[in-house]
Amino acid sequence: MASLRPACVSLSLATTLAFIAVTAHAHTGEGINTGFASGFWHPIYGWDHVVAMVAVGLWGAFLGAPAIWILPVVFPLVMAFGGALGILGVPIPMIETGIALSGVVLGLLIAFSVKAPIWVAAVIVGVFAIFHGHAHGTELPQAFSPYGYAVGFVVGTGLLHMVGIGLGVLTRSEMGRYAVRGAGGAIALVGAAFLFGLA
Amino acid sequence: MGADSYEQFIEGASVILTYPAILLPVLALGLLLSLWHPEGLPSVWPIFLAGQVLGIFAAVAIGPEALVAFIGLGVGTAALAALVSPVPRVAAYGLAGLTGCGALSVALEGHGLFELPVFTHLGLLFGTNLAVAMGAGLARLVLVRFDAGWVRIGVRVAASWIGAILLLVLAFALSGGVS
Repeated sequence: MASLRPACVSLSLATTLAFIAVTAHAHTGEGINTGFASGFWHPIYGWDHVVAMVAVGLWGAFLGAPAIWILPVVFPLVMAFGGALGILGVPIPMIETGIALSGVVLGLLIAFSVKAPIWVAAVIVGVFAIFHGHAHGTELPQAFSPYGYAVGFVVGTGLLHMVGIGLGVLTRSEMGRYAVRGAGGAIALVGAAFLFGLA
Repeated sequence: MGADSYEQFIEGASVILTYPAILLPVLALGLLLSLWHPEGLPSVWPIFLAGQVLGIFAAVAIGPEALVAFIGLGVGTAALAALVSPVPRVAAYGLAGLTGCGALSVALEGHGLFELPVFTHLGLLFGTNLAVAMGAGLARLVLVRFDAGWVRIGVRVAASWIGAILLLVLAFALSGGVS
């Protein structure tokens, strides 16, 4: 019974967040043409971004403390730094390759339950965060409210991490650990599809 | 006369409370102070107030670039709150003085000394202190009421999100997208 509790908490959290996302989508007002909605949906509309953000949360949960909280604290700041470079027009080579590679690498790390030291994990996640942030920064629509976009972008990214962490709580049970490792394999495949131009 | 004074006061307060480029750095300071020490805000409040008074006088001398510097200060404050535990005492006191000075000088930038009515100044002071009290008070409330590790992490994640938002706003400001 005790082993079922983490799974129940995880499923409850993931389901709640999924409902929040649907509700938010249904009440976007002017749709994507507002700063907040544009920033919020930008990381969520791209599968390559979604799998990487969820993977960060999943891997953090897999690594346990302190990674489970260090990664979500560090990632938004580093990703915003990448976004700032994109907004300012600072070029970074092979952005799309880096983004696709992030899905492959993070997915494989989860699938093989690699327990990296915290500083190694932070560097890996930080490097990929810059690629993702830069892509969002350069693809930024010009006409929208900058404040709304920035808030929506950070909240959207943070919620994806929380979905990953919520699902990652499954790793506390044996069956859940296999499920999460399987999800890591699926994430790696999605990343590979983007990497080889199949998606 | 009374109605005019009230409107001036509200106008001053709303400058701080509705302008994200000023509000977010002040909120970040509030989070930092409560993460630093349960009595963090009361102990640095004199420095924070002195900074605000200095900011009223400094507003005459600064230009529009002060907004960019103040957003940068907010990024640093939020990043420090999110990543460094515990924050050094000197940093808490220094950031309190700088943020107080920055908030008032940016809010009054472009105006001469006491060119605006006194009640507008009082509104600005009220808004600045209300904002820092909101940030520090909410953080202290949850940190003291729920004495658990994950609560502290939650406050640090909130600081990280504020820092990330300010970093993007800073980039917009540097690229000419924010006025």
